[in-house]
Amino acid sequence: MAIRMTEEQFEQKYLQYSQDLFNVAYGYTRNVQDAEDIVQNVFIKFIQYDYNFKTDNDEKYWLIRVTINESINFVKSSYKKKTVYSDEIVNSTSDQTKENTSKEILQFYVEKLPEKYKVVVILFYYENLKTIEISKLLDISEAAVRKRLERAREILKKKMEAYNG
Amino acid sequence: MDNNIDILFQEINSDIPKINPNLSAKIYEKAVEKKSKSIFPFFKKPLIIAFTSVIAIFIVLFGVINLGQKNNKSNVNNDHQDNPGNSDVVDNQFVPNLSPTTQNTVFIDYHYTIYTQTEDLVTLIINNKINYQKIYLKAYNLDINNVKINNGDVELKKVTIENETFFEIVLDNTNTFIHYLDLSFEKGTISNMLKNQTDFEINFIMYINEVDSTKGYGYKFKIDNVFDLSEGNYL
Repeated sequence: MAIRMTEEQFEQKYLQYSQDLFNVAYGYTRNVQDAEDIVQNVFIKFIQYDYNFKTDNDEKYWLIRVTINESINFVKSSYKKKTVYSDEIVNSTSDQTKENTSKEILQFYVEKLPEKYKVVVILFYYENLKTIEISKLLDISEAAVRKRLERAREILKKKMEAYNG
Repeated sequence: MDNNIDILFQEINSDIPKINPNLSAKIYEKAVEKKSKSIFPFFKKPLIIAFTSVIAIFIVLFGVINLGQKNNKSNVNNDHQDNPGNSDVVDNQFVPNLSPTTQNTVFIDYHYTIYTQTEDLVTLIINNKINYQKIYLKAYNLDINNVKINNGDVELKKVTIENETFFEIVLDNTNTFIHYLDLSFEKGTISNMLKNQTDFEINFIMYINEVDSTKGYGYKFKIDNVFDLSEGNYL
């Protein structure tokens, strides 16, 4: 049973979606190699799944959904390792830690957000999706997306203020 | 601080590295390789068929001999009862008499759970490597409201066999080996159970091509990938 999609067709899809999917995976993993591995797995499933999506948006949303799932799987499988590493960054008082930028700390706290907030933050800030697009992708109302974003910002704001003293 | 966070996110966004643009050929190659591994290469087919046939003949002969011995025993002792269970099946205690063979193998890659506003969904990703035409599926400890496969593009019906209701799923083997089964449960069914139990399991029974209690497959799925996509539900 052969794959229907030709290599040229796939290359076109890859160019169209790969950076978007990478942004999502990178938002979860914060590691280029890990994010590339996730994107690779997603595209392999995409080729094997070989489904005729009704619209380009359906296709894009499916790919992003699978990327989110793969990313969560990955993060869970490497949870302990990452947690130790990340906690060391924030809690350590070494000189090296003091050089950590606010960006790194903010990313650390994004990683610690409950999943329902984290996914919205990653799609909004890393993937640059509009709230209406996120609502369609996650199957929730646009108001719920905005509310979650607002709540996530509040949590992050408190964490950052506490960190900065 | 809100503005600061937005500015920080803008900076983070602009710092995100670019993905390697040359990966597409490698990915395509891997996908082709993976897919081709799931079917026997043509040149090996006769050898495999011959080997399988020899094994099958042995199994049949062994079965006939075994049956003959049992009949002899029962003639001698009418109180003798055969053991109805099958001790070879470790993970299928909830379904008796399962005897998985290589001919009945369906691989399930992984599964995940999604809560939406209207239903709880468990998605199973089935790698149907040996081209089955039909799957009969039911959950033992929960009621499945509906099953969608590959976004619903499949013939699906409920059948009652021996007082048990199964979803009869006809697989479209012409397109893909991978099938996405979305099992729809009533809203709150799984989320409520997960509130108190992190190790909640669903027991499924799956029969291939026909409902035959000697050829079924029992699966216990531990739900470990949960995505809360509905407002108001907390993990």
